Amino acid sequence: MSVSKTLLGLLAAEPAHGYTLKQRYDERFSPVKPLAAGQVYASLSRFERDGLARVTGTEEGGGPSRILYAITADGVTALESWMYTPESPSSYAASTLLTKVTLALMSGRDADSVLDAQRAVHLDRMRELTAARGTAPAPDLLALTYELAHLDADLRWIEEAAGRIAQPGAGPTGSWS
Amino acid sequence: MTVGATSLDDAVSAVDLHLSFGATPALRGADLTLAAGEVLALMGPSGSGKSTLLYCLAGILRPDRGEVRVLGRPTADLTERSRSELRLRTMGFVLQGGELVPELTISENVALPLQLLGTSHRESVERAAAMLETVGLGGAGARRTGAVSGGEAQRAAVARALVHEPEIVLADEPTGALDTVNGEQVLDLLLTTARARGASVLLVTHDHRVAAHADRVAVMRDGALVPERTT
Repeated sequence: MSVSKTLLGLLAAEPAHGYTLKQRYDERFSPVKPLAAGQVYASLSRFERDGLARVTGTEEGGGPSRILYAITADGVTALESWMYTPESPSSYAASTLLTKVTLALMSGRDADSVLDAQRAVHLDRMRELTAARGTAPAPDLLALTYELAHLDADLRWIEEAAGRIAQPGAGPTGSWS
Repeated sequence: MTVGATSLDDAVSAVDLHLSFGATPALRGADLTLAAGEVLALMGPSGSGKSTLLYCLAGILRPDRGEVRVLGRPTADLTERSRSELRLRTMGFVLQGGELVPELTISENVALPLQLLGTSHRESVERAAAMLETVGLGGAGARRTGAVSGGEAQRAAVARALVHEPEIVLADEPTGALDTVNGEQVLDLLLTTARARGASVLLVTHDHRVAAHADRVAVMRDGALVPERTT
């Protein structure tokens, strides 16, 4: 995911200063792994330099004054160009799980255990999300069902991979190494 | 590994079950425990032994080796008749296609377990009607099974499985023949009603989204349970 384009998109929703932008990003897109504040301020500086955002004022508070940024027309063009360009389907192909399973097969290790462990944590997460779905507010529901759908797709691949590995000659040494 | 741990409070437990059909082994040391009040999803690829295990737990199939306990009671030495009676009293079933009796109305289908248990006709009819209300089929009791949709037939199957208030519900792909929306509704109905009555549910499914509604998920492979993570 492009962090800078996502920050630009948040500015398109409404003008913001760096701290608010980071809060919105973390809350909506990365609750588990918060963004480094430095990355937000560096992005804002680049946006200003490239004409994608401009300073519209400062907010005075108890602490240091906060610079308020708004997206420009060029920024909107850049954002929409990114937003409406489909992602490459192959970007989903490279996953750590696939790497681990392939390496297990190549090195004659137990690939089933890799799949079993991943299935268990995926199902745990799926159960959490399924339980949360009943009470989730509408904006969260979209993110929640998106994650559920992807977990489901991963799990279907896990089952298919387990089936393929179980075929005679598929592993553990087969033709992988 | 926790799948083999059993206690007298368990709804159903299986220890080291083995069963072969001719030369083909279906169960190879399967251990499973369904705790009281628990909803357990049982997953695994086709041919892994899920349904065979379920039928052994139900007493429909006899394992070649190993022990099945129902509500703490060993079942190995029970006669066929005693097994049937135990099954009728303590278990309810929801199968993939509903498996309603086509010659009977929806209401008669739901009342069937009560009548087999010797409940009076009047009480059976009243309890079936109440159960049909619970599953949203209050007005459908007089209809024949052929005159209801797949979703409605499966709701009726849920009603029939729960009408006699069994301690255990065994469900084999209960939403397998339904579309996503109807499947979710039937599953929600089954689990909400079973949980409200304190029943334990064993849910055999190949669908991870269905399994995600369970309290716990067990996975079978090659006739045995994959050890659960203990982290």
